[in-house]
Amino acid sequence: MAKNDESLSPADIEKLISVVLGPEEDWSEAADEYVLRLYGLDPSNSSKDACDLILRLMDNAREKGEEVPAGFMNILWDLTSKDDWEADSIASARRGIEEMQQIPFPPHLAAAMVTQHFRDKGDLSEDDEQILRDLAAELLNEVEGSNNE
Amino acid sequence: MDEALPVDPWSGKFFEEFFMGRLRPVAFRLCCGNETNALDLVHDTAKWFYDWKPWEKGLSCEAWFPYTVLVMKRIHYRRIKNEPPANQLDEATEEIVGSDRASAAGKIRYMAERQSLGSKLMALFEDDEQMQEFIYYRYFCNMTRSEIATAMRLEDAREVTDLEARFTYRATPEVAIKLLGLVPRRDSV
Repeated sequence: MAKNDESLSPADIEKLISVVLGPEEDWSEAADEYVLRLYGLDPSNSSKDACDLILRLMDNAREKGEEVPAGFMNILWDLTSKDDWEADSIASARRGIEEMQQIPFPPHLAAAMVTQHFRDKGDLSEDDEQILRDLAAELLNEVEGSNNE
Repeated sequence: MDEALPVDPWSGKFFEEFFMGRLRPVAFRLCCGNETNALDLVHDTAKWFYDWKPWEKGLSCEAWFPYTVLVMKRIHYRRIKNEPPANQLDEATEEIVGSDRASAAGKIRYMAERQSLGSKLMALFEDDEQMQEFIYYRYFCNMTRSEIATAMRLEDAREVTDLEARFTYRATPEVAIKLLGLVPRRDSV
């Protein structure tokens, strides 16, 4: 594999990409992969960078005093609990929420995230229902606590 | 989320595929492989994307990528030229600020190199008429993927992506380096 600093100069890599693949706005997924491999990156290894990116977007919004879109929590949730969601277990989802609670976001955003993710989930077991009730109580307590501060 | 949308822009799957899978390679190419700058560029573009919300502007999902790439280029070139970020990036994405491909001489040289490469690549697919047709449209006519799909009477641009995947499987960077006459530097150690 041609690597950036091992074989071709940056200018040659740029020329190679430009001539072989054409304008970026018309690239396909095959072209994307070609470019990443040319720069020596693993195309399949992007989850961590995606997590870092969404966290950075959220941090920057908070630093600027802007409202953090609730959808960002949704994205972060998906990215951080991808394997758990594939298992489709409420208990594993709860572990994800607990991990998320370690991140200092306003409780109402966490509550919105829970609502979003558990909407339309059918056939819950009694254990699942109990976990959800406990979770709702915990989150409501936190919201109440933060309102009293 | 709008019910009519085939993808959910607020899902982790979309976020990872779109920003890491699709836009990160473009950012790497624009930033000449500098990872820090590339991720900064992806960040700024993602911020624009979620502020502007293309799904609320009537843009089809298929158009999100090319449109966002144009915006990414504009953000990038503005940064290079030390221009302040523009508030209305969405209204002026046609012009690619400062692109070195914009000069007439650059365009002619670029086309000549594309055609030269195309004729050499055809030899790799001697017994494959469909691939030769693809290479002709791509490198000699400079067609976009959707134009190639129409010219080849394919049902949609996805089939062109399949052709391109077959193409890049054979026309690897190593092959293209040889065909373009580029000379790799020797490792220093």
